Amino acid sequence: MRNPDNRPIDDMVFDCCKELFSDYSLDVRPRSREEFPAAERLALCGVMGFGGRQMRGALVLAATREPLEKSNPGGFSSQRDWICELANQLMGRVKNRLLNVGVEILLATPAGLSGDNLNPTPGKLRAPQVFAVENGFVCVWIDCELAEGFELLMTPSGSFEAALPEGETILF
Amino acid sequence: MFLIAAPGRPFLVQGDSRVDKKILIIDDSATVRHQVRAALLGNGFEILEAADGVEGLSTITEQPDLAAVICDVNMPRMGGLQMLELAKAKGLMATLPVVMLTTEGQPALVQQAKALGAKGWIVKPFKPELLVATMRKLTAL
Repeated sequence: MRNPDNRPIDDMVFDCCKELFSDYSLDVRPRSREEFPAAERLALCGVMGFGGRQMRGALVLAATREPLEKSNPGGFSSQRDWICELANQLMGRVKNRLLNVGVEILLATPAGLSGDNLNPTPGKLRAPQVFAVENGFVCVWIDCELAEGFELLMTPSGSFEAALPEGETILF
Repeated sequence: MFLIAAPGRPFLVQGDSRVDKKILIIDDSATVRHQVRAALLGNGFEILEAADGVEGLSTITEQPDLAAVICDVNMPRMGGLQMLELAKAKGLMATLPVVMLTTEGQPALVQQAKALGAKGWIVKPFKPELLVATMRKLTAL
């Protein structure tokens, strides 16, 4: 396995993150790492591992408390549980898009972390993608390795039938 | 016909159309279980919860009056598809509608669920009104 140029997968995660929060009626706006205020505290993290023949890695979704409250307006359950579910839904979207470009991965179940001031530093110290959401921030890292000789091409592939889109309901 | 009571609710008559249909939601996320509960309660459904396939299978076995099951795919201990496989082997799937509610959208998994007797597939996040309509259809409310 080797570390790829992360740009294509970062772009995919960026789109998926925007779509995910949009589905919960939240507008996320990309920010540079430098715009992340020093006073902000990442309180919760959801971590999703994934693996497959062509690629493997982990996705980390970290957030301040406000976006979690806004995206779960009923206040159901714990925010730790909710960020795990959001990480799961984000990685599910990434999986479905990877499938559409011919890459099949399997997902692990999510793990959650909570703390006063989390500072995730995934492999190779990749910089996170930072989003401003309502009155808070969301950061996303994706850390992946590709199999030797495999190139991640973001062009539609006929290798697999297209994944069902999020929100889709089908009855058999 | 007999009377049953639930805390904070009036007596209901078993066998009467006013009796809520019993739905089991199986998901490792407590938040998703609460969201499903919030969507279905008050729409003619009573909700039971399980946190993984092991608990889910146990509840299905112990609750013969379940009207339907909503089940996640990726869960710790036992996933939804493995649970379907075991439920089918035990003969529990013949009349029990199961809908998968998951982040997965991979057609091969959808086909696997269908082959195991599932009646539907919803890719998260779900729309509450659509979930209610789906469960009403499957339970013939």
